[in-house]
Amino acid sequence: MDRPDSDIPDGLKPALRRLDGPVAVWPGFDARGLATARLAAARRRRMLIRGASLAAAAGLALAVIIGPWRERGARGDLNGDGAVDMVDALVLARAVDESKAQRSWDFTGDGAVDRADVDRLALGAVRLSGGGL
Amino acid sequence: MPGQDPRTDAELVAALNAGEPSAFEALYLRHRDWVFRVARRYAPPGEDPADITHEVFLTLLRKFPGFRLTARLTTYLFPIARHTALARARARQVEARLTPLTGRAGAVSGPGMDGPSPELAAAVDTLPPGQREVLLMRAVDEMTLEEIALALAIPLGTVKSRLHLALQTLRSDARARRYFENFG
Repeated sequence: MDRPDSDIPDGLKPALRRLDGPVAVWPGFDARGLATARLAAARRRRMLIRGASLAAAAGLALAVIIGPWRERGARGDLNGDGAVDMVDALVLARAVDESKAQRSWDFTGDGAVDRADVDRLALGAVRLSGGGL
Repeated sequence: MPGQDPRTDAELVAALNAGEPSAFEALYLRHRDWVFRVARRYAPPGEDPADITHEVFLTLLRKFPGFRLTARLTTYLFPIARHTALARARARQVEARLTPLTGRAGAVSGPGMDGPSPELAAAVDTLPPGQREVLLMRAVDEMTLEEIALALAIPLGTVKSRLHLALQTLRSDARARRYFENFG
């Protein structure tokens, strides 16, 4: 290369600029452009807020669904409130009385779900102070 | 008036990121003409460069908050304007090309000027598009070689060689030779 690349002849630059022509916009051009931008910005803000609300709602829903599910995993938490307590013992007692007890509620491990399991659950609840069996 | 906002582009970008809408107006007014010129250069027949200009600024606005300015703002605006115009050409199924300088409406002439030279326009229009593009970015848009490389996403060496070839061609073209007479 025989000369610096930025060396465009002085006369050529203004000549090219003149050929490129001036910018002529109609009255209201800026107003329209800026109004459109404001509208888009407002829409975007609403979308961001809506998105944040949706995310919060989704988080809440997940907390509602997953939270108790995880807690229900605690052995003995029959009502799924996150604690193993006397209420669970009452739930079990009622289930046994109504023959609606589930096999997994056999806390004594004797193959049957009966009053002995209610006693074991109640004892565990009292001893562990809500901790589980 | 927002157009006379004394803050730099970087400061306005920071303000816009912080949620100050008037910073966008200032950026718009500062760069509107520049974007319009680029839009006009690439706009396909039948497309209004003004519409493209508005779309460019909308695209810019969508980058906020979170836009990081690491180069001159025009380096970001140029590819947006170019892409927007070329996309419209594709949508219209017309050839995407640089608008010729020949017959450009509104070319400026006035006292003390040697007038818009149709010969120069014709000479520039015969340059290969890549060379013409770089020449106009350098001479009209006043972009540095590095900025051109960044805006076109091509190597700096390619920018240099395209500009060099464009100038070499114009120098040897009788229609443009007079611009090189007292030069080098």
